[in-house]
Amino acid sequence: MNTKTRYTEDDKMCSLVCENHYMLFLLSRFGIPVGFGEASVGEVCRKCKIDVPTFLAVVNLSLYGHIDHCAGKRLKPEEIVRYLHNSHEYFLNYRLPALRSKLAEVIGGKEQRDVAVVVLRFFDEYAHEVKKHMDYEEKKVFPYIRALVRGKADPGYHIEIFRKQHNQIESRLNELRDILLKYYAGKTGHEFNAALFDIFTCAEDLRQHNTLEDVLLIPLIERIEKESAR
Amino acid sequence: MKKFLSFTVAEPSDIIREGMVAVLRKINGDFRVFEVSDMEQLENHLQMKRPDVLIVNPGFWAGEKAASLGGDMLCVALLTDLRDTQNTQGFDLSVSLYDDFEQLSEKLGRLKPTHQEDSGSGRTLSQREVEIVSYVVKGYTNKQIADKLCLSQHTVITHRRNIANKLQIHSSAGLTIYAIVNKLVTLEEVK
Repeated sequence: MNTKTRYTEDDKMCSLVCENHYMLFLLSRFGIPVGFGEASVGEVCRKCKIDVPTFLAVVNLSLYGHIDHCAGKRLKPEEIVRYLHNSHEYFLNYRLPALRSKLAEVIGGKEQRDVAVVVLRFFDEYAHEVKKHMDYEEKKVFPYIRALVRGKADPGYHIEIFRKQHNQIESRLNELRDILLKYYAGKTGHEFNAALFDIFTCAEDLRQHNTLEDVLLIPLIERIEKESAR
Repeated sequence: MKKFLSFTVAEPSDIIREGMVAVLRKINGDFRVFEVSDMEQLENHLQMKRPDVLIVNPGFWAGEKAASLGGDMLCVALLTDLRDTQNTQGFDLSVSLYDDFEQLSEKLGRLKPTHQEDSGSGRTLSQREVEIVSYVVKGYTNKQIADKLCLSQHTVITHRRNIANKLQIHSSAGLTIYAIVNKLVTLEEVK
């Protein structure tokens, strides 16, 4: 049984992934290729030019909901933003489209084309919402943070504005999951269940993505704002 | 994965609101907390964010109003008056401005999202509810449905809330899938 409470830079990258294979999603969004050999987390990150404290903060938060407040001071907001930006690209250009085509393949079959139509309509509305949510961050929040770090923050904006309006992103995907689980009446099988499984993992991944913004990014920016106001 | 509660703290006083928010965060850092200071925006906000719990001074908000919003939001009365004369009818719980941290975390820690319990979910729809579902997914407004079925709008809203609770479907796109799967409507009708 894995009784670890958090990972450090001296742990082996390979163990991190073997013990928690969902970390694979995270690695590709950081742009870290596999083939680590025996290298440690710190070594792999440095080789890929990834900020080690940022990587560990994201990993430990995803796995244990753990925030190290001392390490918090060493976190670089621009590195977190970079990761979040990569994640946005990943969800919008890869994960959601892939999920959509999988659903299109398995829902309805020949007899129930109309079910496929409304499920995909639901999905497209959802994907559009996610895009709007992420576009706002890309166009408003991230530029604000990048400028803040350079000491040139837009005086008309505040991370508080973002915190207040930042809403849950995965709930409608969970609604789709529940509707299919409870009410779907068409033919199902291996592929259908695999698609359903993908909805679960994608929703969980989106939830974690949002948590990262809420508990890692926002408090960090709030602190920088306070410091720079002094 | 455990679902964490989302809260809305609606309170015009910055001191009280921000204090309440800080206490919630201290109780559980994973709570999602929204703030509303402009009480006129509150209903809009609740429609949009659908928090699990609303914390509000009963002087600004009647507990019964929660029912008209649909969904299964819990209402917590935030009492600012030591004399305990405020009306908390329709609220699920009340906390006082003078509760200490232990009392607050004990009270708020007990809250569970109601939809995780059996709040009527899973029961089948009545004939009337089925009718209403098919009108909703065809794009009829509450007023149009009320006229069609000779009901008050209020009754239609109550039906819709019950439907949402029974099916655990809160969007019309979701209801559309339900209606198509169950052959309550045809694709042409929902276009």
